[in-house]
Amino acid sequence: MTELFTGATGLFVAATIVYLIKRDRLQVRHGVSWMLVAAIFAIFGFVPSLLDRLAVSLGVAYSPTVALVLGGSALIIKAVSSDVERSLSEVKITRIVQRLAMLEADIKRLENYADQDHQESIDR
Amino acid sequence: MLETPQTATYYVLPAWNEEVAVGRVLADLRRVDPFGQIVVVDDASCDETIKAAESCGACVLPMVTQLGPWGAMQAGMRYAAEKGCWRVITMDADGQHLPSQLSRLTEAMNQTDANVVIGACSQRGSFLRKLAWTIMKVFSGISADDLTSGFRLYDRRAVELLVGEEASYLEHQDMGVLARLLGNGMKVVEVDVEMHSRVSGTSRIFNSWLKVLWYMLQTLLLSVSKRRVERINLEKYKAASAHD
Repeated sequence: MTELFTGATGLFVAATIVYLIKRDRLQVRHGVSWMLVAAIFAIFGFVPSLLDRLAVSLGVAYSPTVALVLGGSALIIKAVSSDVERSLSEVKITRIVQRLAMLEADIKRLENYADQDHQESIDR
Repeated sequence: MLETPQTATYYVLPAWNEEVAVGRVLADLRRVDPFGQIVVVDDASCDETIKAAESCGACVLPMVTQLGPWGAMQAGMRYAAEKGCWRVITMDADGQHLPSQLSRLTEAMNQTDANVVIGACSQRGSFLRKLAWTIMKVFSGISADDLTSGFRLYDRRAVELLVGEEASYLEHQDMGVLARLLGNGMKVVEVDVEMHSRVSGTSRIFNSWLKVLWYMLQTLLLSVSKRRVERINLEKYKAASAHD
């Protein structure tokens, strides 16, 4: 039953990722890593003997511990990479906000010049 | 973008809710340097800072959202760099940095060929600020009198280094900026200046223990990450114009 639950969870995650990409809620590049996690879930869920063999080769007595450690590590890596992406996005927003302010200042200066020219032409 | 003379000195003043002080600061600045290009970067103020600065003839960069002290400062520097600035002087719009002290910065740059001159006032500051300086010095390996001073003079090379995208990852004009300058072979010199208490408002960082703690944790991590093997002691220039 546990195997079925784990495998089904993997399939559910995979289906959710596909749905989010289909609805344009998730970019494909972010979806790929989650699909890998889902696939690993599904494989170890439906073929638990693979996990047992991996645990033996790593010298771990209780095989679900390997799944937990691998899952935890994958989540940490994913969280850090998300923060890297977020930092990049924030920097891009910062640059855009700065550029916008610079352009606004220039528009203001041009408007002032135009007003001055207009005033001078009236005075003449 | 509109061009200005290639030898122009730009004054960049980030301002956040400084309607009370900015007018006086700009008037003093104009008296000291009538031909300097003044750029006030309004960091999404809630008051009439923009109006106050514009009424004094300053060019105002209005931010649509708050970017924090360094984001605002960098916007001003980018603007100055695009206009072909010769030098950039950064100073606070709250009245702490005195235009009468500008000659010390320029004298120090002219005499030492430094790329950056920091106006230092080690007497100023609360217990929290001094504690922050001590911790920064220990962990960064950079020894200076006033690590957080925003009263600085940058030459063109230093400005170009600081307007790049990599520098946009920084949040404050202190350790990160200093480490970036020194790491790229820039010569940084300190000179003693007088500073006043701010005319209005409070420091965005040094006004609560919690904010200081968060700032210190960030700065510590930055200091350790950017630390170089050798210890760096910033050169101190003794200004001849001691009684400006």
